[in-house]
Amino acid sequence: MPKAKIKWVGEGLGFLGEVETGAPLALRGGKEGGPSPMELLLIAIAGCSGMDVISILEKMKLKVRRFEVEIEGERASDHPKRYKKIELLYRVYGKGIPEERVNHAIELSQEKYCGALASLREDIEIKSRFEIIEED
Amino acid sequence: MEFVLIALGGCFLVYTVPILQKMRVNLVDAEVELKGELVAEDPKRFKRIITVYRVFGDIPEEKLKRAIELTEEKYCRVLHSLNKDIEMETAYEIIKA
Repeated sequence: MPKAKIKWVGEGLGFLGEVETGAPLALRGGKEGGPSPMELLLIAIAGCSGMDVISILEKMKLKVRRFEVEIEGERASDHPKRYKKIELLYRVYGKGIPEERVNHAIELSQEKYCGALASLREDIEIKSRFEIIEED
Repeated sequence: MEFVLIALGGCFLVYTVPILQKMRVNLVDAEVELKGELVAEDPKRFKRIITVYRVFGDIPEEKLKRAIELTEEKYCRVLHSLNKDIEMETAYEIIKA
């Protein structure tokens, strides 16, 4: 079961997030430091869905050279400034990658596998698109 | 899924710490520990998240309770971006320091 510990460090609003394995992660509460908690939530979603998509594409034995996910969120203007809309852009670099395969992998991740995405409020609008870039 | 917990816990502290400071309590240190429970079937979303706040200093219990309430009800953006079906449990410990 997932676990985490977050510590307040120092006078300013600096925080360190610790998980069981891996290096601690610096979080930004004020102006300096790592990602803010809301940015980290986006990283969690993009990481989760990105890992699904790449592992599905690899199982399809496609020649993926590089892969990245860009994610952007839009917030409500009133407190609590929660996400209203999240947009994902999957970018697949490789040779002869069929569009329908990428589309299918993204659908599988978003509908079936990605636990972080399924943990979001249901009324957040999720938009996604992809680009395939031919690369040897 | 650990990142979701760090995002949530970070968001809790980002608000609770300054609220306590504004209340002029003697806050020496603070941390939160989160544990998540996932549903059994895919997609394995969070079913339940347990948060334990641990604050160090001379902090009156009712002020801490109020700070946590304000954070959770009014400010924490990450919490309000999560699925409402996730059962949220909160506990706290005050350690004199």
